[in-house]
Amino acid sequence: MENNIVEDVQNARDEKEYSAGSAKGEDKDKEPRIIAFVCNWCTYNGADLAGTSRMKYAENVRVIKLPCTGRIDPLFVVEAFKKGAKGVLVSGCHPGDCHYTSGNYHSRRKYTAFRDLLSYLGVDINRVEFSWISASEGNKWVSVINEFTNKIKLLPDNSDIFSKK
Amino acid sequence: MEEKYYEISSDNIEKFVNNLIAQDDEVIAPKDKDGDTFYDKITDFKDADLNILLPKLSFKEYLLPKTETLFEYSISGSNINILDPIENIGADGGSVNSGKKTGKRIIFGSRPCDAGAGPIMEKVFNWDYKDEFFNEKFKNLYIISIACVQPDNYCFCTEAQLSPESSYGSDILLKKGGSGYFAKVITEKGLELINSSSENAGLFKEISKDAFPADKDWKAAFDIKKTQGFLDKNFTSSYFQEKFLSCIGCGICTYTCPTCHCFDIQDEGTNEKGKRIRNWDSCQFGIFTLHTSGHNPRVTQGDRYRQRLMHKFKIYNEKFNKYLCVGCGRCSRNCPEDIDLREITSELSLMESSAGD
Amino acid sequence: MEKMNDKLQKTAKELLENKEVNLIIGFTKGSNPLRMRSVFITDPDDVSKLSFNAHCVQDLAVFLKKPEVKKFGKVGLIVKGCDEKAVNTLIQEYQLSRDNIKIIGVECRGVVKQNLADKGEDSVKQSTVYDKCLVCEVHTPLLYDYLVESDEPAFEINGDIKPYAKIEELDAMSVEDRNMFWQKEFEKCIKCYACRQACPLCYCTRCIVEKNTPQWIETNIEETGNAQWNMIRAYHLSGRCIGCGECERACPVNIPLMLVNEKMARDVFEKFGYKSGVDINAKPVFGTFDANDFNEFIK
Repeated sequence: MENNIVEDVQNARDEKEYSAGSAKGEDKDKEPRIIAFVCNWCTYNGADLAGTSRMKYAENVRVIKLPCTGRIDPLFVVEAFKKGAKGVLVSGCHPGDCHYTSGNYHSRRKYTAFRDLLSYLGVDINRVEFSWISASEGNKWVSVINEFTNKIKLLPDNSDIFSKK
Repeated sequence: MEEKYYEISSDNIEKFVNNLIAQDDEVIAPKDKDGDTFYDKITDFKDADLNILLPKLSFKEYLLPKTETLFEYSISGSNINILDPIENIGADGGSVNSGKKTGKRIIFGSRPCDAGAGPIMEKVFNWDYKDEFFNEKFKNLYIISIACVQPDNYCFCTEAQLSPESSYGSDILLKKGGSGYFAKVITEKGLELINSSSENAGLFKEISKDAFPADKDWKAAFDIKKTQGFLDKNFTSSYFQEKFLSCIGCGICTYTCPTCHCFDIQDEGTNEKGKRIRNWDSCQFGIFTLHTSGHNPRVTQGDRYRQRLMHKFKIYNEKFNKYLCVGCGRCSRNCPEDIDLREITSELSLMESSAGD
Repeated sequence: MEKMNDKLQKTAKELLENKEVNLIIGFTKGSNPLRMRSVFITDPDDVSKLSFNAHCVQDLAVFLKKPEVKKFGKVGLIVKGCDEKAVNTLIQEYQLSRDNIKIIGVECRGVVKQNLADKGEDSVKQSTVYDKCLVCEVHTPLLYDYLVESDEPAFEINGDIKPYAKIEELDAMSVEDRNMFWQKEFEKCIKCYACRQACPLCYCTRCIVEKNTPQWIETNIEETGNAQWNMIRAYHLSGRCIGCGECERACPVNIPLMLVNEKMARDVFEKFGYKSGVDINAKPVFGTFDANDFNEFIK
């Protein structure tokens, strides 16, 4: 399971045909990558709905599906940053809607602390986004992704601990 | 080489060091950092803190870096490129330290114990496989040490077959006295530093061997051979298990030790590029000897500290006829649980003596 | 101090003689007059080795995680107030059974910084004790089976020294400056993992850095690997760290780890009203939740 996460992050990064219309890998370094860790039950279906409804949104995002936001260990975020992602989105069911009753509540606590820690250690907190998106909120998915992408594009090329290589 | 003796005034030693810095040589010296002293690069003689006994860490990292790149790879399409740092050694005499070339490096103001660690480590890195990474760095490392006047309660260099005034491993040994220092030049490398410019050579006044102050009569408080004798016979002694209940296995003793040299080889990178590196490692970690099967031959901290003692005072000696310890006492000073190696070695020595009677 | 030591020794002797415990972990004289070290006593006749003073810096609760110590079964542990909170947390996290430990609490008036003691400092005052002692709320341990009162007066705090002052300073900095500060600190790290080993709450038999399928934390002892390690160590201790400061004391390269730990403790208290190690019956802060938790950062 954990190996798969690392591979998924890797694959999301390595994808050759990155943006339609541009030559293979041409803009690869310019366009910021965003990794979205989403839960299986709400946000993934929300994103799916956006797709089947033919809604358009920023192509910078790569989606990695997990059972529940409770399963999205902050280590995954670190892993994504390590592999070169500029922004990471964590998204799951609204409070009260968790398929496993309370996974999202636990996740909320963890990320409250983790974001504080990141910021304190000098990582721009705008690089980590958290959202609640239900299966019916295709348009919310679109707006969250678009807003997040725009925000990430405006971020300076700072040299925080994850930008070093 | 025949040893040469010089006298040099305090003002001139300052000029000498500043000249070395001006010659673009990397000069490392004990330097104050947030209230503690560490070996670090200096840009002026005044940066050096020569009043303390010993820096908190040894200068081991200039011989065996904390992380050292063994090779790098990059893959694009069907092209696989291997960058072998060893191939890049040579042209300018530099070696590779995580991709950065290093030229001549001068340690100024080390102590005889730290200086003694160099040749002790060299034996390990050359007895079978010749470790080019180590050898390049060792070749380029010039050591100017200053003899100690007053060792502290944790020091036991005399017992460890060196002494506060030992020149073993140094290229130049300085002793306080006269108008500043007396200098004993032991190696060609030391002579090379002095003759690196006519100005430098002019700073040193050659004297006769007799004019060089004789070593004090340092007495060993216990016999380290007895310590080895105890270790030879008492592998299963309950002493180790009881004594090291208080060891938390933090590994500070090995990381701050000038002679501990274990490393761990790891691969790091992505599908596109990466590197093989070696990192410092420690026999005090439970995982150090953990087998894939789950079996661990050194299961308790007592076993692990015993291993450290065995390696330092028995195994290494059997192979190289020297102890893998210079008696600097860093492991004792830095131990958060106050485990004192001098106390342990002397206890073992006494136990062996009384057993022999 | 004599009265304290007498009572300590008497308590320990009784516990051992009555077979209530098989092992007493306490403090004894160390390698120099201003250093103390741990001692493990199984024989009631050895209790005279026990003593306590302002140089008892170690958190003895760290030994409770050692398999060699667990083998003894019932253990009597001599603890200061701050260290005792580690025992509470271990009980909260089901690492220790309350029945298996007899807590011999000592009233502590502050301990002298070890680096100062090594230079000869022997007096307990606000400029010589650890920051944790300046903000200490547990001079008397919160939970104990036996209490040994101190016969020393409390030291005076007049506000001249602000404990953990750097935290506010860092909070006021820009994120880039904070990044610069921490990169400079983490650069020093030699990855000896002494911070982990000295921590009474880092009890995992296999630490996250030792897992290599996948390799979560880069093993290199350079900028990237060091930063990842220090970040994850701090994260795994947020909401758990009881502030004994052993990680920082053990660190051979003086990384101010308590600035991270204390900051996270403050954040957790601010957001969730939780203080670690206070109540053995409380749920660990990340083992529970509240429907009305802090939600402001979520879209």
